[in-house]
Amino acid sequence: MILAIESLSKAFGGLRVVDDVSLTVPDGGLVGVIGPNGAGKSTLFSLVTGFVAADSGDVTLDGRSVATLPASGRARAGMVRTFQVPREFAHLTVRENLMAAAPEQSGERLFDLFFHPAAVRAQEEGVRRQATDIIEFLRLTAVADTPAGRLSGGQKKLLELGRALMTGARLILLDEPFAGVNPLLIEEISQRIRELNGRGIGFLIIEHDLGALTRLVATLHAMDRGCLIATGTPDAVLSNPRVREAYLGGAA
Amino acid sequence: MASFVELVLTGITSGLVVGLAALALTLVFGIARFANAATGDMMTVGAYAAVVSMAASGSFTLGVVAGAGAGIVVALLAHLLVFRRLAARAPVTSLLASIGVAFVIRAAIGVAFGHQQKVFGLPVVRPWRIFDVRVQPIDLAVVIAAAATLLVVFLILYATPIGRRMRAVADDRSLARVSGISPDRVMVTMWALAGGVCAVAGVMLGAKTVVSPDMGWDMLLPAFAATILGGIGHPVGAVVAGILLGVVQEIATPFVGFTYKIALAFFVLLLVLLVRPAGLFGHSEGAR
Repeated sequence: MILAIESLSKAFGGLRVVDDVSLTVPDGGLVGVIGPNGAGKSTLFSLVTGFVAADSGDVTLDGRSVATLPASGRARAGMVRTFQVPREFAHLTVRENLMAAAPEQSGERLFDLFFHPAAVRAQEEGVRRQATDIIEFLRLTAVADTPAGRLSGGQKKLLELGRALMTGARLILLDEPFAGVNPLLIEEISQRIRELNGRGIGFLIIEHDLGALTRLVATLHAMDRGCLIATGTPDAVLSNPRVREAYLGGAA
Repeated sequence: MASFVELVLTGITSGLVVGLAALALTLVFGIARFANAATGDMMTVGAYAAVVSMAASGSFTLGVVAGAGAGIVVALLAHLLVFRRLAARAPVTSLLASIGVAFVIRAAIGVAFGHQQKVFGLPVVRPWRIFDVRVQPIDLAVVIAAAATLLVVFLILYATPIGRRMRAVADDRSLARVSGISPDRVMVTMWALAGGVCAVAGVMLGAKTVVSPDMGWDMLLPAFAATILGGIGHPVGAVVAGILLGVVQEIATPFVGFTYKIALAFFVLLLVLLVRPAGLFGHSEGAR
């Protein structure tokens, strides 16, 4: 079990945005979260990754609680999220975006920079190589030295995935990876996710494109108004009457 | 013609002082997100440390190094004791606290060294003559010190892992956190750089003029002007704008007189901002 979320809750004002949600992602799992707008999916991600503090509940990564760790600590523990609207270090190049996310660089300490320059350089070389591998894997070679702020929406989504990989994350939380991405690139991103999953990286994915998501994940969770309302195989969850009602009710 | 070149050269040296102070301001602003009103007094710290160590050792180089060291220590103390604790609050809290830090530093210097002016015991030497242009050796020393400082800062910012992370935090702080970048180490490095840069600027100013407890505070306004002119949060812009303001001030002095030098700097600032509201190097970006 790479991730276990236990009874996580969060209220903004009087509104319970995430209400007693528990779910798990098995080792190397590929798990989806669906639900109408405002169901609390993105907030759930924020709570899990420490972006926003939870009111109650626990989050364990590989059996160890990370609930007291700050966001940067949870990322270093192996769990990284992406954002619905992709975010990037706009003035850094694609390569620098990736290299900035490499964990534990001795060049982070001024002391080492001045007194162990050879070690810093050797490590920097390794980080650069790793970044290049990821850039090639994501087919971003053509824009590797372009400031990330100038990328297209789809390229930014790939870059977010790349930054997560660069941290050495074993669990990646993707917040709507297909939103605003053209159909060809959706297939491309799905394929990259499958390949990474094949290497043992777990995924928890929020997505509104149910077609693309159900082709990708083995397990689906449905949320509505902060609560988890269904869990199971994609087919079972999509045919669940409560899920149908939540979506239709949301549309009405 | 020769005197015109001399004015330009003087402008560059005094502009470098402003530019370094603006660089320190812009580093703090870009990463800690507040205007550090203690920037000037961190300059004063550097100047006093340099005067004291130079009086003891007789070496100007050693004075610069000691000054930079003192600036780094004071900036790190200010970070650990004050700004770090206010990081979660609104930026205006840190701004107000920095005014307090400025007063504390100035008062401490006043108590320790008195309020009378001090000077670097630099030997009086005849200026060199290069094609009829007089060049003061101290000006050259000042420019070399500034250039060395700029080289170190820009190498760290643009060619090292920690510099990359500093720029990442400046771009998007919360994204940096979820990417596993610890803000603490970035902050400590940034304050060390800012303190060192301030102090070197203070040593330069002290070597060119006199050293007094108020010297740094008086530089704060021109430094802010250069920061804004260069585009807030843009390190290269801060330095270029500082030099530009320095040169404009010196060239204009024969025409408008010494008294209106600073007013002229702000006139230039206003003109530039009318055309480029984000500053010379700034890019206006949509709100996130």
